[in-house]
Amino acid sequence: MNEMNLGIQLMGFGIIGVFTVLILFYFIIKALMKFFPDKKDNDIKNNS
Amino acid sequence: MEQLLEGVLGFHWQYLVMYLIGGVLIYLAIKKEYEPMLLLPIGFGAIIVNLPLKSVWEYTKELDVTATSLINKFPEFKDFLAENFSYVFENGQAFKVEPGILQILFNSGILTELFPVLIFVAVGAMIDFTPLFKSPRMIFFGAAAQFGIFFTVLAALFLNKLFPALNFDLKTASAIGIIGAADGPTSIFVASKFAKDLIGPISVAAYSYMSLVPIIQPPVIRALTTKKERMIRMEYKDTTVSKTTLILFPILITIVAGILAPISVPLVGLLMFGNLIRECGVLERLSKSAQNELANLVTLLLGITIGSTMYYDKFLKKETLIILALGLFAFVFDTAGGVMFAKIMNLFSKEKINPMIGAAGISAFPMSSRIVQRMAKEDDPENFILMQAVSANVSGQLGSIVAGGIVLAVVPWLLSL
Repeated sequence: MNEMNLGIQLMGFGIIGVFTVLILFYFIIKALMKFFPDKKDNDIKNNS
Repeated sequence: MEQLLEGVLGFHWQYLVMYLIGGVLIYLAIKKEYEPMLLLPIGFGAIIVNLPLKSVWEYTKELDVTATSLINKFPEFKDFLAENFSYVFENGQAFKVEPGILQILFNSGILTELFPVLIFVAVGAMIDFTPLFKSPRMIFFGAAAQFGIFFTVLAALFLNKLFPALNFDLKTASAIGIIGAADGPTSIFVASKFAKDLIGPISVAAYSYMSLVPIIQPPVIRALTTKKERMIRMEYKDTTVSKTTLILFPILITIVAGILAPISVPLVGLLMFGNLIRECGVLERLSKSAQNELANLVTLLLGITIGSTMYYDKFLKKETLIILALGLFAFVFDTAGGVMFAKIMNLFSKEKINPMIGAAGISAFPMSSRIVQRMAKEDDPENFILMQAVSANVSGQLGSIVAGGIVLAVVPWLLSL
């Protein structure tokens, strides 16, 4: 297969792949922050 | 008499060029303080290997009569002996060449990927992901700023089409493109798998350009942004992050990355291992050792070993200059990719993002984030976007190793189609 075509495919898979994985990491971070909030933050919210 | 003069008789004029190159790297390390921990050992390694007989790399070859008769009867054993037992063949004779100290370090530390992954343990122990938890959407810039890697792969392949003598196949182009990861260990890791002979120029390019980020990025950022855009202020919500989150994060990331891209586990896993040691709170001694002793020792050995691959017949080629040029190209397009992505996000986002934050998505931590903050202050002395820039910068570390893992996984698959 033509090398340039392979390069374009690598670019496609690469960029989509990096974004997909980092989007997944984003949701992991959001989930962790939601389900394991810092106790100090909770105390401040409860007291206010 | 000849044996006494073998040093003088074995001198090549090209050694002088390599002494100059090594000297420049050492000068940049000491005088300009550009990544001295790597550039100085690399520079010295380049000098020490370019001495007559190359005795730090290999000892004088000795004729092996047994091996000679073996390969004369069974020529198919030649490659096996060359790869596994350090034999070279001349005029139908087999010569045993004992590896020198730097070749031993190269074979055991670079070809096995041991040094890069140990560096990742150290890097993981140094990274604080807290800014990323406080501004999670900055993670996207860590992805966008890897654009330069893949664009450079295309550029290398395009150059190969114009000049087929370059011999830049997909694997070689990928090893060159990964310079854009702005991450030395990832570059070495990929190069050791895809382009062993080019580890020298690729590493020199990666580490040199990482230290030149303060010179490379600002003109690219200014060319792609207006003053009004650079003056965008961003709100920073200072929330606290629980210890449970900091501990679970490296474990979950390792599992997820390992399932999606198993080949990236040596990189991601060891980085997260280092981070876990840091965040768990009960391994302070190990964390300090990883950040200091481990990092320093491995960096010392890694640098001089990389430098020792810069023997003149492998380094003084037009391909080296092209690789250095493509490395710069990668960094420029990383910066451009991050900035343009931020501008695109602004089209859909109510809370505007300062586009310079995109440039901080490359893995050159913490330099890139400091550059962005400095540029923001130049246009608006009261603009403080350092924390958002640090978030993007930290996510760049994740993005670069994910990109490295994807390249390692996808390239062999594409070639098998």
